[in-house]
Amino acid sequence: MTKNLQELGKELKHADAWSLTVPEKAAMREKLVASMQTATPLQLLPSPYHFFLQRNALIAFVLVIALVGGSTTLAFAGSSLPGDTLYLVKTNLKEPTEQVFAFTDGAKVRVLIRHAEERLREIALLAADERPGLARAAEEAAERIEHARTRVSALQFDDALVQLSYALAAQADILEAQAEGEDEEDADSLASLALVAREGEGALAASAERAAKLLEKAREQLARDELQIDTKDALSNELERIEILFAGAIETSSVRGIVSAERGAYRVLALLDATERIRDTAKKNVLVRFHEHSDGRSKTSALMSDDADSFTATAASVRGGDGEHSLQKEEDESWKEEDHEYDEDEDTELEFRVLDLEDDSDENSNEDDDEDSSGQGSDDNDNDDEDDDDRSGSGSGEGGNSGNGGGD
Amino acid sequence: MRSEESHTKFLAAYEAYADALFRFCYGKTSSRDEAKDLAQETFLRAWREVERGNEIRDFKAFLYTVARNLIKDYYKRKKPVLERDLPEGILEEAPVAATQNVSAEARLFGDVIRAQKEPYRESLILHLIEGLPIHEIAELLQERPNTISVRVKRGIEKVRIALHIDHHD
Repeated sequence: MTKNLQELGKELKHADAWSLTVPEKAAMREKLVASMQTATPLQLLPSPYHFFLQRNALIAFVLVIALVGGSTTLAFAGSSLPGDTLYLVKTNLKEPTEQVFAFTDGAKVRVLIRHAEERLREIALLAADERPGLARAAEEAAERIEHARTRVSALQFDDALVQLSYALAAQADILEAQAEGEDEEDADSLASLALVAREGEGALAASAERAAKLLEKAREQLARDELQIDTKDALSNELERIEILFAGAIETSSVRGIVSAERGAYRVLALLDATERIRDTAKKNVLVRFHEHSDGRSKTSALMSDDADSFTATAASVRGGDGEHSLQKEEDESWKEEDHEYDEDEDTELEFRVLDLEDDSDENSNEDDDEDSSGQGSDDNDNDDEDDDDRSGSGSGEGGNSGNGGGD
Repeated sequence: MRSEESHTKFLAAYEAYADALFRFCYGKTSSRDEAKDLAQETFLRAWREVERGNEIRDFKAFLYTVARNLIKDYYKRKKPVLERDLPEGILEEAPVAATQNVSAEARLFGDVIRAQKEPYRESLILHLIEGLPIHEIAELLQERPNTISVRVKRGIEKVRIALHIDHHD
């Protein structure tokens, strides 16, 4: 080797094998220019996904998707019921989050009350839809309500506690009403949940105590009241029946029976009060009778409707051969105070009628009477409306509340 | 930069670096056809970069980086070629018939260079054939000058042994 490596390299640089020939270089250039020209217009077409390829934009996009998706999920979860897939999201994510973000004690209390109400509302919806799992859901709801009650009392908001108990009591009425239509297990669950909602611990004992007091009071009132024989007999029978039911419920610790007895006792008491009031103001007598029927449910639903004709028809069927009282215009003057079925007994129906005892010769007084009676009638129709809402007799809803008052 | 202006600049860069890039690819692949394709692809990619509006500060370094990556891909795609790329095979198959304008020594030198293994080969091509100083090679290959210096020294050592050249020659 005479030449050094540098020189050999220089020589090689110009060697044909190591160089592009002129035509090769020109051909490459042509290809390049051609692709440069065709490629250029592409520059004017930005990628439709260009926005998403930018880092910040991508993060923003993902966040938006997460937020929208998340809030949609939460929105759907909000209306979910026990047994739904999203129900877990609702109870384990949505509601705890709401509790966390309630910063003041007042806000915490409001949130807890709202959640307790929500539990009861769910149960009511479950029962209405006849969906399975009611008993279990009722149990869980009772736990959650107890929890809410504990928390609320721990926060020492007396007003809030009152608010909570009102809210729960209102829901409890609905639950009790719904318990009527359910089968044994579900009805018991609803009834006991209603008790929990009302009072919490010791609710059953309180309910039993109240029922006993109400029965006693009704018995006393019935003894001194100057009622028509028929009415007195009917109410007496009813009281007796309730007492038997009550005794049986106490013996078997049947939540439902005790609740039923309490409501029945209250209903009788309410009837007595009503008859007294009507007699005092309108000088009319009141007839209360029981009618046993085989198809109680359909009749009950007919009575619960606002149809005046069905009221009248039922009234007529109840009155039957009782000719001396059937002289009046039933559409105007006959109305229904109560209708109720007892779940554990045979279907019975309570008829409540106002009878004008005065002579019809005096038109003025008759008009007054009519006004009064229609006034009473409208009151009671209001009650009936409530009945429709609650799906039970007015005695149960209203009775439950004033029963509480009386008991307390 | 306006479109026409960038066109002109890019074509000027092509004229300036096309030959060197071809030699670089040829030295690393031992195939004129592959080298041509690789060089052309390198320029095309560079043009797309210009087209996207990305500024290329050091055009030469950019071209060598792209070329090296393309050659790596080429070897990944063509394993058999890599296996054939052994010293004996290279020497036999090297298309040296056309290199009539060089001495037998230079031709042999080229064969030895091509037969070297990386990372010595590319440093030798750039240093001995292109005549680039160490620091410039370091910039092009994005390595430290010391690293390139060591590679060049060891590469030359290997070439000398292959060519039976005395150190003092």
